[in-house]
Amino acid sequence: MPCSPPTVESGWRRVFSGSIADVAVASAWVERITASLNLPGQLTFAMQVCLEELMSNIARHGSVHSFATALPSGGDADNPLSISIDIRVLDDRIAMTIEDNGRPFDVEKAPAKVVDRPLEQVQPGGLGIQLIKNFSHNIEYRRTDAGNRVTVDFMR
Amino acid sequence: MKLETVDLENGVTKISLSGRLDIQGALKIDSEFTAIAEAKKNIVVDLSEVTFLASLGIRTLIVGAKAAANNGGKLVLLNPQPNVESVLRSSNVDTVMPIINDATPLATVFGA
Repeated sequence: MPCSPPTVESGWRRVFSGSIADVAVASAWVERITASLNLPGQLTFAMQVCLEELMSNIARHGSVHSFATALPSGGDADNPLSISIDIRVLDDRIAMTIEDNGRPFDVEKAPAKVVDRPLEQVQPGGLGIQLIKNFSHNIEYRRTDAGNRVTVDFMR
Repeated sequence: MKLETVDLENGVTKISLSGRLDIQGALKIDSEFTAIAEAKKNIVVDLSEVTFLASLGIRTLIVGAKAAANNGGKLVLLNPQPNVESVLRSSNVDTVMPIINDATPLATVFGA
């Protein structure tokens, strides 16, 4: 018997700049949505972790220029970074899709680094991909004509 | 993100953080946290008032731990909230920065 597609109960969409400051703005926006849905704290936290890591990756690395020379709003004069977040509440899960117009980055295939050596050999940084994969139930990446599209699922 | 420091007995310094240790929080305290870690030896980082932790916050903690180790000391994490602790453990950060609670004697932790 074929499975019917999941029903979309409700959804939200908002566009942010690629600035560091907008990571916090997006986080507060998602928190308001999860509060309105009365989602468990653990699920809300997992969504916040994935949002933070995905958006900060884009803000720091998504520009075609280096982080140091990017505009304060992200990106550069010809191609300002833009990040759209779409949240869909389905019957069995919540799907959060983040799209950006930055440089290609396949988060699904990126290595999930953890601390696996003595402190003196640990290179600080690079733990974000592992957090995204650990705190979501599924992650799917597509490179589109507009840029990167990542959907992370959280089971309800 | 707020940072407060107090010197305890036996040469141990306690750094109390409060707020979200996200990308903005990490950028805000990074320089001060690293400077303290470079100047001290044995450090307890009180995470009980930290409500959120992201990878850039972990980076700040690791830089501090490496600085303390360079001084022949150690950096440990005190009383993280459950969600914050889950971030630490999922990254295996607890293998290089021990997680302790109030019941853990500091003398045992630092051998002081």
